[in-house]
Amino acid sequence: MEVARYLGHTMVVRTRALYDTWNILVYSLWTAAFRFWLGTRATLRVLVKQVYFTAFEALPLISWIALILGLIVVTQTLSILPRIGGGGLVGTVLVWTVVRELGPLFAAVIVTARSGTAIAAELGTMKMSRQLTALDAMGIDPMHYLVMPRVVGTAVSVLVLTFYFVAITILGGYLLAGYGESITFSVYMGSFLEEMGFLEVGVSLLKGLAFGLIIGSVCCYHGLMCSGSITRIPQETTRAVIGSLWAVFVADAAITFVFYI
Amino acid sequence: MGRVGPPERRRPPLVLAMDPSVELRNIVYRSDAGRLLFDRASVALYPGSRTLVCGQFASGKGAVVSFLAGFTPPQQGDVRLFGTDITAIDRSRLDRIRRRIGFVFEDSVLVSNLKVIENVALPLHYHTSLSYQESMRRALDLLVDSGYVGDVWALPGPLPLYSKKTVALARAIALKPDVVVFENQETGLTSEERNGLCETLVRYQKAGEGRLLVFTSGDCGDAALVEADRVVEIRDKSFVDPGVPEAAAINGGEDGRGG
Repeated sequence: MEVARYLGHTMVVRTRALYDTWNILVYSLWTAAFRFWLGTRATLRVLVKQVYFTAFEALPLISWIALILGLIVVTQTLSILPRIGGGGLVGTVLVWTVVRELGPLFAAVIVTARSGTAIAAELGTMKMSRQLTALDAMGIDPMHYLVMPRVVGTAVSVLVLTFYFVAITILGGYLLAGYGESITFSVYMGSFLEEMGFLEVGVSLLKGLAFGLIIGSVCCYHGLMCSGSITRIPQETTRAVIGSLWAVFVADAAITFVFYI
Repeated sequence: MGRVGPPERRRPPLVLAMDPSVELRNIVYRSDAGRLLFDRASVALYPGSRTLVCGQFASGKGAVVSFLAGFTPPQQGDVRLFGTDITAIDRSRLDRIRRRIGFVFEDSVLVSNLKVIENVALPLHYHTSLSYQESMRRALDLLVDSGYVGDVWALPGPLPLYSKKTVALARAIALKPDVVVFENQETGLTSEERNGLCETLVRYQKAGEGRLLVFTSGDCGDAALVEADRVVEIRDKSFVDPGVPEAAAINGGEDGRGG
């Protein structure tokens, strides 16, 4: 009986969290589309700052990880495929692994670790110190001024970083691993571009956009959940990371299933 | 030679001839802890007045500020700002009314990721069509007028309390509101610092017509310090207004209670 009660309670709490996160996502998209004129310049500054912190400042880290991943993938591919007579399949492998899956996933994981935590902790601190109520008192809706730019900014950032990550992985991979091998750059890129289609690009960017919206909404939700004690902030930050990663992987599986099965 | 005729009636204060800027009508409010703070209490605050709302610890001063900011509605009764019952309007209308009322909260609550000058410029940025340069220039003027001494490009976190209050005060009057509420003005400040802030507010009030200043304090004796022309004490779950008997009578006439 206790177990059933515990499971029921957990399910109710999780469902409610999912519903609230969904509301944040929908509200952010709705307000970005139909209420952006409200306090445009102030809100735009928050949005630009968010993109700057999330995308631009992450470029060095993303570049290093993309280069290392490119080195690994291209080295593994070129070490195996020629032996089995599949040297021409290098582009196929790169599209399957990097463009379809690893690019959006790595961008999402890096943004979650780097900016998702910052969003949750910052909003949590602002809520605990009544800064959100101060904004309310000034006639500034915190959902419009703080949450929407963070959700939209994170989505834009993950979208851009996905594209950047894939480009650096493919180009850097060849420079680091493929350059000394038997394959020329034109064959390498030709093989890659031949496999790339509208679907691959579209789904990869769709994943980036969806993951960004998920990370922004989940992290904002957990930031806004902070109340009572200051110790809630690190707890909610941890939950934001776990929740974001969980939701990103589920969304990845769902999108892959829909487009590639 | 004296005038002949009926004896002159005592003239009510001028403020009573105007519509109140702020009015709480028949408020019933029980705190989250279940304690009854107000029981059919009413009070009206008029334009041009400097009113001190005072009461003992946990008497309900914070609740009054919360009502006026539209954070928490009372369980019963109306909260009227400029004639509109803010408990019965939607978010966008409430936000429009909030632009006409500025708050200096007890703990200042500046936006932590904005610089000092950006904090003051924020309402100008958000609510007006002023250019960035113009709003920053006005924010700087407001900071100077409010007595802020320090780096305007500093983040507010490490600032001393008095500096935070001056920034919060500059931010509160940035949109030239009709009402300014200064919550628990006595907390954490020396009498010189309080004087400085109160002088700024009095200057602000005199610079415009019909501006209402509302101070809250735990000590009704602060009336002289804030140069209040009216003292409203929260006592016995109601507003008691010994400073202006006529106002008390009128308020009492509406709901049968004093104050």
